[in-house]
Amino acid sequence: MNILNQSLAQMLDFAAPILFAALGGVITENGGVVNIALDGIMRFAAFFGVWGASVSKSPWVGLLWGIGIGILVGAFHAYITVKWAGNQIVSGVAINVVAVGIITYFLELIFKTTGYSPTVPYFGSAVNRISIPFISNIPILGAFSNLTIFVWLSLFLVFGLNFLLYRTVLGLRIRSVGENPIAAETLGINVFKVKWFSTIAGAVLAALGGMALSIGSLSSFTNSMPAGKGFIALAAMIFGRWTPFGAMWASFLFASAQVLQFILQATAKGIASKIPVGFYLSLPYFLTIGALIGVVGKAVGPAADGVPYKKEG
Amino acid sequence: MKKLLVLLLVVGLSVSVFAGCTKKQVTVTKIKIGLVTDVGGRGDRSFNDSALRGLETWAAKVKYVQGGGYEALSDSDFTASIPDDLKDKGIAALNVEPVVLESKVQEDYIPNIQNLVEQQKCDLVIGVGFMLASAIGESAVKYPDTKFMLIDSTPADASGNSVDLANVSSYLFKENECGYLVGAIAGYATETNKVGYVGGMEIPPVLRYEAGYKAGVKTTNSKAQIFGQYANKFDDPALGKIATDAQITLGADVIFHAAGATGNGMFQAICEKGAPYWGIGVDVDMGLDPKLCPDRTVTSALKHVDLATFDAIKSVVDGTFKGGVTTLSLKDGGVGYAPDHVKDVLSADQISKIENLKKMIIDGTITVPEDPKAVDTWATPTTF
Repeated sequence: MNILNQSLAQMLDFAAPILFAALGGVITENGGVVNIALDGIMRFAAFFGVWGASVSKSPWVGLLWGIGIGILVGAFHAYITVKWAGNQIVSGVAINVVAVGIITYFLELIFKTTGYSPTVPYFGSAVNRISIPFISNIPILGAFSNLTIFVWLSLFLVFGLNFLLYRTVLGLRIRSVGENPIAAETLGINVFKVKWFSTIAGAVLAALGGMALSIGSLSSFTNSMPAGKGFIALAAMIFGRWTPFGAMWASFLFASAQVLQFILQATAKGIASKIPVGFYLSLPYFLTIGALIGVVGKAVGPAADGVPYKKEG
Repeated sequence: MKKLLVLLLVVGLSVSVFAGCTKKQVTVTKIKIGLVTDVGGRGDRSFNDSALRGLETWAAKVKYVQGGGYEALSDSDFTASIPDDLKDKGIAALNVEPVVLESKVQEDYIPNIQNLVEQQKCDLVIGVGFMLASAIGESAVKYPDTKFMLIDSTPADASGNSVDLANVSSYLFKENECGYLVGAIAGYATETNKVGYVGGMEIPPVLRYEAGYKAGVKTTNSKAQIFGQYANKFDDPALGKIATDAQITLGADVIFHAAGATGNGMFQAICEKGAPYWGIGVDVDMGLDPKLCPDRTVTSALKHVDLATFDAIKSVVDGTFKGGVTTLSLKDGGVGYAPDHVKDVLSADQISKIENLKKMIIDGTITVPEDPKAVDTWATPTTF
């Protein structure tokens, strides 16, 4: 039972960055803006989170810095794609490319090191974890006994975002703007304002994803971060049919397959040990494809997703 | 608006033209040594950094300044940079100038080499890592007058077949030998009789580490169960962390990685758990790296890429450069293990047994397997 709880906790920890970014994709794309920049925003925030934590010796300050850069990058994306109705893919790719270059440069400039930042105070250390000791021995529930604040936040945000999108006026407006902006405009909704909001909110969520890696699960910035997790999040968002709960299940599926394949690799005995490593490594991807074919069916996004909106006349 | 843009462009262009001029103040007397890193790049704390130490710190006696350029290195820093086990290898500054190009993606390898040969006119071009085998192989055919050095592999042609070229000197290492010794240490250090291994990708040097490690554990602790895993990535610490966490969950208490930056996640996991878990570093002495987990690093498998790089450069300076393969092993000090916390974990008797095993490998009594699949049928030495 201990193994189950620990594996489940590891799964949640590994899923958190992907889940945050996928939720960011969900809100941005429900508002009709394609967000291919998730990976780049994660990278910006992963670095700024570590920078803030290093300057102040407090992960909380790092968290604020990371959210700050998330707002800035999100505003840039909104400025290009909403204000000037620019191509959303081009803007997204630009953010990803700039993130690779400028963060590599900042890493050298600020920490005087290459490849890795120094280690900083982070949310995964024993003092900063949210410890609920009395449930630790209960099956399944015990997995929640010693998680980081990021994991809890990612879970709460699934419910929060679901409430926002489907139970509030703002959510209805976001979705209507993503489905049919002209109709929304005729009903008096300020399409631009809604798109600005959903794009920046999505960027902040992606920023949390980046920080869940650098100051949540790990305690330093690695120049390879986020190692493609933003793109996995993009897939999780589509796989989850642009809904918060769908994105959560997709992230969990991918993360559990990842944890499972490591356990299988480690414990393979007898005939199983003759199975090539490549089989285990491809397991998360096979499972995802399988679920996509068998369970999910056709994934249809918001109708006006990716279409730049311009006022007529 | 348009006029302003044109003006900006003109100014920008003319500035870049002048910028080009100032760069050409090169002292011609020095021998130019080019180096292409693999995608791990500068700062990988592993073999790219090790190769850079051989070139920049030792051969050129300079210090890299963050953001580009070099400054002179003081004598005391120079002496301090040479580890104890290499003090007798004749490492001294040579009259060379380093030109280092980093590769961000695999597609950078060939253009980087081309740049070093054609623009920089380097006398020797060093390719760091197995991943550069075919880039170096193809370039060496294209530029027969330039000398090449390749670390961790023999040069290969476009289809990946190993080729023999007169202008390429390849340096291989017996990773299985140092892997064996750290495995033997792990076999003694484990209290749960379960040890772990996290590999990056299944490429020959990493497989040799795995084979040696498993054989070593088997030698000192026949009861021990070994968990082995590949992350299939060298650059994802988050993946290394869950791989390690999975092994700890299964009961492993000593874990070794040969996974580049992915392995940093292993140290993160071990540092979080603290005692009684131990990590084993790879390629360089990771127990000396304050950014990893020095308190819980029992030992490191050492692979002196720095020494190989220095030797190759020296052979070019001395005019003794030869094509072919050089394999560095325990015998010539090319590989080894770091003392880190070995004394705190192993008894004096156990340490002397490790040293015995080392002697037996050097004198040929023990031949450590290179293929992980051969470990199961490999006969462990009974007296040591």
